[in-house]
Amino acid sequence: MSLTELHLALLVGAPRHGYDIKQAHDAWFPDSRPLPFGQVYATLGRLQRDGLAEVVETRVDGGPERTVYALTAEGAQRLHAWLAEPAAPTGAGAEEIVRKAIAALHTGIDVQGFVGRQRAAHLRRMRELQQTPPGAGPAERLVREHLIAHLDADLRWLDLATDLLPVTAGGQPARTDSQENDT
Amino acid sequence: MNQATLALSGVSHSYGRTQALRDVTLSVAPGEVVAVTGPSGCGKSTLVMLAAGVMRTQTGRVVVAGTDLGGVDDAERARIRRRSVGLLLQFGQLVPDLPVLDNVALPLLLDGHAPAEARAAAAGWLGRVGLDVDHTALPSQLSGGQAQLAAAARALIAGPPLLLADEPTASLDQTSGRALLDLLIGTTIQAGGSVLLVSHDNAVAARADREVRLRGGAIAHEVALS
Repeated sequence: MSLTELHLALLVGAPRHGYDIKQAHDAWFPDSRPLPFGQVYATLGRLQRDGLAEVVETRVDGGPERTVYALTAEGAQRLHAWLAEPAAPTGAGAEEIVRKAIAALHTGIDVQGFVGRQRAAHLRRMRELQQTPPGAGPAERLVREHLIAHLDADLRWLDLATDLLPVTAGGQPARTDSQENDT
Repeated sequence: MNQATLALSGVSHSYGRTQALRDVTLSVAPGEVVAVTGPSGCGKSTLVMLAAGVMRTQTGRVVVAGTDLGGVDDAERARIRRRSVGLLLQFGQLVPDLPVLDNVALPLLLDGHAPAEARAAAAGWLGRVGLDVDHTALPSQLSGGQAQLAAAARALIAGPPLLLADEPTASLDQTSGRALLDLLIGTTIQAGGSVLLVSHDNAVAARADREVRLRGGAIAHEVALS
């Protein structure tokens, strides 16, 4: 379930409490449904239970108690493994490719590798679909062309994402807690 | 291992202060189709012009069919280009004053083949690319798609071991573009040659065995597709 890994990506760079994580998520995906607080805390609880994140601080600054979470080594490993796998080249319902690309670009984790693997996965699928079997009728061709067009759209979007969210030369994240890009 | 048909090593190229290619190293083996992709201005066309020997290498080495293009004079480079490289650009680039048949026959005519023999071969190639036009027609009388088919025939006629195709399908509709790619790749690979496809079109890149992605003149990634 990629929301788990997305939370891990949001913990890269510095420990955060739930409110920060929600804010960062909503800044990464400004057109998506805002992440409900309940879901953030439930996910953080699961991450802690599974050893993927740990509590490093509990702050009480005159307001409500805030638990600060950090990524564990195991959590970082899980995140890297997630980003090492391209999203399935389905060409439809492309949520996963968007999540992975945004997480890779914001965290700076092996961005070139991610883009290369994702392009390879999509291009291989496009190649399979281009090879219409002999005897296929127009209906089958149309289904294939529909999928090819969606895969092409994914790849064009990925180009745009890598242009708009550049990672600095050292591979450090161009972190955007707010909407600003300072690279 | 077979010697690469095309090998670039440490190639950089500048136009004045603008650096078009930065330390590019890539090779294309016999029987292999490689796609060089990337956004406009990433250095794709410069790479083609260097591989074709149309431009001189500034830094690094470009080796085509075993010959280092930097180590030969202009006449020898032109000879290698005629015999070893089929070059197909986006808009055909036919010679405006020559009939379509002579345009296709040109690589053989320039290489000293008898005109009758060269024209007979050209007529055969016009048939293979499916271009059914009056052989005496001038390029201005052809549609963009027809001109591109004639240019494809010209690129293939000498049986070059290296086919360089820069946005070969950009002036064609999808069906004609795919048919042209089938012909370019099928003909060259069957003869044991190599194809370097340069395109920003993902559907073209998907036909390759390997993708080399350029960004800002440098290789961003290289991935196997087959």
